[in-house]
Amino acid sequence: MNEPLAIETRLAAHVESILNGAAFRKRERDELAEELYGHLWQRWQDAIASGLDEDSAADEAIRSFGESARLGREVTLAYHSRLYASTIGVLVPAVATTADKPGSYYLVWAVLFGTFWEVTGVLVRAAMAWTPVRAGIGVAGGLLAYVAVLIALMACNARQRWALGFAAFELPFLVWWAAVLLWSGMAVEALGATVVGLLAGTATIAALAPARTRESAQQSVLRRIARDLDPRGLARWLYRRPLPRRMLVGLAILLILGSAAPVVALNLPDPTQIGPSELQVGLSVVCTRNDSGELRAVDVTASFVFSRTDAWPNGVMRALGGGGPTDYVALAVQGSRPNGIPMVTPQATQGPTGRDATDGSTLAVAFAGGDDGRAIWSIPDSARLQAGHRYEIVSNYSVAPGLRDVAPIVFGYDHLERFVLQASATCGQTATGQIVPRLFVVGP
Amino acid sequence: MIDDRATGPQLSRGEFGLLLLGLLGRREMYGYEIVAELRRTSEGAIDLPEGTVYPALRRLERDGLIGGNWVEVGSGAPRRRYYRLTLDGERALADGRKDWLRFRDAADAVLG
Repeated sequence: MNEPLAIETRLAAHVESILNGAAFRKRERDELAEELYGHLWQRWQDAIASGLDEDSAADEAIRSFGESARLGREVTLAYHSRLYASTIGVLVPAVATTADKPGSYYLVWAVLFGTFWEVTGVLVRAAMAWTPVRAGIGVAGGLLAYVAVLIALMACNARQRWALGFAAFELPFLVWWAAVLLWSGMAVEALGATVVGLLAGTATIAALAPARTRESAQQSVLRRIARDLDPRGLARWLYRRPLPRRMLVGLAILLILGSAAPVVALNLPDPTQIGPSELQVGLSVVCTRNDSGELRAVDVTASFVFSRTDAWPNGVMRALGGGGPTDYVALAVQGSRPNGIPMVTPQATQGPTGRDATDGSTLAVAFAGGDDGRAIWSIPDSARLQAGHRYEIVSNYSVAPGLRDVAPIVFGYDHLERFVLQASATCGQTATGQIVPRLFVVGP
Repeated sequence: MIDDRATGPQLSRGEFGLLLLGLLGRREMYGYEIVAELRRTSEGAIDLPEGTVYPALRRLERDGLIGGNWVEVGSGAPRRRYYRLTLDGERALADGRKDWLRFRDAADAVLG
């Protein structure tokens, strides 16, 4: 027969096993622990009074109290939202438990937690800056990967052996997700997520990792962890294998699909975004001559019409007023005679003037840069270009005396750095835009 | 559902909370006493894992429907946390009882 003290320790351990699975403040935890222990203690006493021996009475008290993992989840839900309980509420108890975990457990945990942070980085980026369909696929993929990572964390915490192999399998994904962050133009975020993941993981471990013995309590947490990083200790500690092989394969597929999704998304055409065929670009050059046929002025009218517009072309971030690529219109009028005198003045004598030819309103364009005879203007977000409206940009140029013709004038339209249409015309000509790799790839 | 093990009525969280309010509407009780009283008054039909009463009590306390205070018992026994209804809890109990009776009458009408 056990000593009463040993049985009371056993009852307290059962309370601890319940609260290990829950996450809440220390004061609340201490009070709840005292209350649960009081219940078990009284149940134990009553069972003894009913004729059971002390051991059997303790068994009865623990059995009737309920399964610890389930009660832990109920307790977490009593203090937090369901979302918290299924995310942070899983992560924190994973390291907060005072069960006698080997140090190498935390290494596995850091791999899983690091991936968790990187997936978070991609999720935020996709949700905020990607176009709707790409964001949907990216976020869905990220969530799939989340599920796999969270299940592995929970399994590891529940001492399920398969989680060890899964963490090893996940190691390349730690690198993969960092690469995805980098590849999708998030060098800072990639670095940040990895550093935050490592720091958060280390800080959480340092704050919550239990001191296992009086001797080890005097050592730093990192030294304790370093001392028993032997994976064999972890293999011994993990003893359950409740996951069927088929489910394990499913989980691996979940992680692979989830990890591939953001990359696939960025390479898929997004039907919510327009293509070159949905933008018409035109250019008209009208030359005014004197009686002897010499040029006096050149009037350039560039036009563009969208058959439809993009839905959230730069994601939620842009919709909230953040940055991102914009549209640019460009004119090149630089054409020189052999003696170096420009055919037309590099700067227009009038314009460019932007307008909506459909409703007569003004289209604001802002000078974005240029050099001699070449100029680029940006069309701000506030322009709110509408489908079916014909927009015109008109410029008037003076001409050097004695000229009878000008070199082709080039008009280019760069849509969100996704595609460029360019038209080229000279006196009396009109032209429509053709796809070119970049602005002014063909021109004077 | 609170528990797969329950052999009698399957309770949702809300219904379980209402039962706890009902018990505490009679007098102040502590957790162990609540479980025993629940089992006794339901004649064993509601026989949940005993620990499930505490998360439910925490939810009711968080919602301001019950309040708790610690009471020393002495002779080496752990302290007990006694719960009582607050004014909001009394109102919630009255409303819940009314809704439950309406539901019960409707169910009786359907089942005959």
